[in-house]
Formats: sequence, structure tokens, C-alpha cells
Amino acid sequence: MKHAHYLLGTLLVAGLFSTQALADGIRASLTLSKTNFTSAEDIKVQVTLTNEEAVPVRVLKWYTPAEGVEEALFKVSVNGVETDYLGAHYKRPAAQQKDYIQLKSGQSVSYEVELSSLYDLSKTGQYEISYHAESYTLFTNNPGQDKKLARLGITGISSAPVSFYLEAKQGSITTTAKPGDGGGTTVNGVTFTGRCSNTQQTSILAGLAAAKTMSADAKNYLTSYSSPSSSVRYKTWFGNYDAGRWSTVRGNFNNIDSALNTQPLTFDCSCKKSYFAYVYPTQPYKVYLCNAFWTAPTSGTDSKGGTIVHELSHFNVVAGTDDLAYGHSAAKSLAISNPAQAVQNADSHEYFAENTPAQN
Amino acid sequence: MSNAVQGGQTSQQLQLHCSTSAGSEAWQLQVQIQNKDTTPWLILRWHSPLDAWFSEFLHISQNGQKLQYQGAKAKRGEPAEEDLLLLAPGATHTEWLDLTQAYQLAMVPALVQFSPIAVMPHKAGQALRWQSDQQQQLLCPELRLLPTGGAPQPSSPQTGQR
Repeated sequence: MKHAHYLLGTLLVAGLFSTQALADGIRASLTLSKTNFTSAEDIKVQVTLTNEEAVPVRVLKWYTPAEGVEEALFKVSVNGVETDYLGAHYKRPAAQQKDYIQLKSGQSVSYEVELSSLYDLSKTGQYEISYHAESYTLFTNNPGQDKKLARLGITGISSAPVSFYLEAKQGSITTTAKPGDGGGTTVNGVTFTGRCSNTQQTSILAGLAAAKTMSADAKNYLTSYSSPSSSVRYKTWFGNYDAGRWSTVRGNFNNIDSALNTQPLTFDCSCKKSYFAYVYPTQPYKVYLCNAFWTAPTSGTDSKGGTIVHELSHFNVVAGTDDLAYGHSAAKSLAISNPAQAVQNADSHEYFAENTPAQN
Repeated sequence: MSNAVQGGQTSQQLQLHCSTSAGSEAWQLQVQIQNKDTTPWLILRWHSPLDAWFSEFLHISQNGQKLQYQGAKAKRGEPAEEDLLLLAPGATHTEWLDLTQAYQLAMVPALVQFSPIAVMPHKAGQALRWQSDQQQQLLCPELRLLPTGGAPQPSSPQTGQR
């Protein structure tokens, strides 16, 4: 049995796991790469499951991280108080053979799990986590075999606890664990749902700050530009000058800027599609962020900030825009061919706000 | 009507055919795209019935009033392979739509109109890549639906209300 991968820095090494040979079963061990984190970092823990039986053992995948964490596999507490699990619980059909993984005698498997997207880690303090999976059908879908294991005292998979310190975000934080949407954490009026990890939350807040900067700039420009009819910036994205259309766009940016600064925004991280983001225009102010968002720059063309401006413009109570043309090239063409549609187009608003390369 | 398809030719010369029909359940309909060509075609899913409900690709009216779209709207970059459907020569693609997932319909007849679908000829064996300069528009015929399911009988006087 090897303990080398237990971190020295971990607290509360219980001393139970190695010496006690209570028919063993599957042993879990947790390893953290460090013991001090800030809220800007993801908190990754390595889970190792080892079969300490002399015979092969099968384990129900649902109670391992084999295909992502799909149950509350960990007990997490901060300063001694248990925290909420924000991830999913699944209702499933009865376990079948294919739902088990087999470990040979002595064999180990390791998984890396990111915790900040799964548990409420919004408080500053000393955290303690341990692996704790129990299920009637954990080791077999054969009830007779299960009873035999239970008599031997093998009912689940547990690990010794490991511990880390987390410096949480400053400001007012509330958490609501709601079924279905992965719960939510609200930091200074911005709510995160759908398992946003720490690094995702940090990059959303950076994108939101960029969105506020560019929407304020757009609003000010449209309010005070001295010679609207000769504005190259406006003409590029919204076509030939027209007082009514200029006023429409100015109103849209007043609303976008106001929503960004005064409305309770929610960002959801559960989307796995190739899009940047999507919203339901009838359901302000929740923005669903998808794959392309995470690789976008904070500001500039097709950036995180610009994407947030784009999505806010879709809400019917904000500007009610459509997606009539996507991308710089198509949006520029739309401005020339159909200015009335350009002032209804979400990307046209985004590109006007991003203003890259900068135009006057 | 919301429509990200800009430019391109209309479907008159196309060897692709779009047909629409009412389902047996209320507010359900079927869209079929048939490739009558001897070569494959690519269909851009965005803003088409293959994109339900991540874009507004229908214009639905009841009593002459446009219904509010309650589905999602998405920001997208360049079309990727997953955004395209390859339709082989002779093949038909069928899509079912349940309008109640994105619209609140009253119990009166509805007129459903479709945004043009962006399509592009494809050479067999080539990578699935969208080239907007080659795109053309496929038009799908509008459809009248009854609140009881199905479409009006041809004989019924359903021509009022524009």
C-alpha cells in the first residue's frame, strides 16, 4: 500500500486508512496540489480509488468521478459547518452491468475533480473535504452479494479528510442551492448558476467590467458626439446617418448601460455548445455562457465584454435586438445594405461598442 | 422576420425541396428537406428548423398578430462542422417542431412562416466547411395550423385574415 501521494500539508490524517484492514474494499484517497487558495483559482483535488481486496471489485460509476461528478461525492465543510453541494442529483434507472467499472486486486484509478463548480466555496475559511460515497448498489447490482458486503462492514467508499484554506471574494455573498440549475452564488449582485468554477467567475467579472466600460463609452459617444452625420464609427456599423435611427441606437445603449449597472444579472456556466452565449429575450437578466465565450479575449472584437453587450441587447426589456447578421464582415455589409435592420442587429451593437479597430 | 441569411439566390433553381405539414397533435408540424440533386448539399442549422429553439426562425401570427418568440437567441462565431447537416443525393431530412415549446398560442388558427434556410452545394469527399460566398436560400412553404391539430381542409374558407 502506498501513501506517498498523501500531501504532507494535509491536516487530520486520521490514521485509519492504512493500518486498519477492515476487509478494506475500495479505498479512496484525496490529494490537493496546495493548501492555500484564493477565489480566483480553481480548486482541483485528485481522487484515487484503490482496490484493496484480493479479488477484483466492481464499482458503480455514478459514485465515482469516472464520467464527471454526478452525485454529492464529497463531504465539504468550512470552519466546521457543512457546505452545500451545487451540482446535479440524477434520477436513474436500475444499475446495469455496463454502469460498473472493474478494478483488479491492487489496481488504482485516479480522477481530477474541480470543486469550486460543485460546492459552495463562497466563504473564507478552513475547508475540509473527504470522499464519501454510499449506495445500496455501489459494488454490485446483485442484492445477495450486496448483503454479504454489508455484513463485512463494507457499505461505501470513504477517504480521510484533506484540508485547505480559501480566501473568498470580498463583498456581500449569498448562496441558494436550488435543484435543477446547479444552485447559485451571488457576489455583489452578480449571480452565478450552472456550476461556474472560480476561474470562470473571475473571467465573467472581468468581461462584465469590460462590458460596462464599452457600453458607457458607446452611450456617451451617442449622446455627445458633435457631428453625428459624419461619424465614421456609427456609419460602419449602422449605415448612413439618420436622426431617428441614431436615436434608436442611443436609446438601446442607454438601456444596455442601465441594465449592466442596475439590474441583477445572472450568468450560467452549464452550456457546452460551440456558441458564445445565449439568452431567452423574454427572461431578463440571465445569460447562458457557452464554449466560445471562455476562449474569447476580455475586450476587443468578439470579446467577453462585447458578448455580454450583445446578449443584454437581446432582452426585450432592454433593446429587443435580433441576430440578423453575425460577424464583422456580415454586420458591415448589413449596415450598407439595410441600415434599418442594422439598428436591430445584436452583433452590430456589440461591434459598435467594442470599437476595434478604434474609429471616431 | 429574424433571419441571419443574407444574400444568395432563392430556391427556384435549387434541387433541394422543402415541404411542411401539420402533425396530428395540436401545434406540431413537420419540415422535410429532400435532396433531389445528384450531388450532396450542406444545410446550415442556424436559424432553421434544425436549430429549435436557439434562434427565431419562424414568424407565427394569429388573428394577424405576430406572436412573441420565447425561445433562446444565441451569439455564434463561424459555422463549425456540428452546425452543418450533410444531405446525400436522394436523402430526406425530417424535423418535428412543437411550437408550444417557444410560443404561447391562443386557441385560434395560426399562420406559420419560415425564414429561408441557408444551403450550400457540397463535393463528396471534401471537408465539411461552410463558405458563405457559396450559400443559397432554401424556402419552405408557409403553413396554416388549427388549434385542434392538423391543417385546415382545402375546401374550408381559410383565406381571410391575410
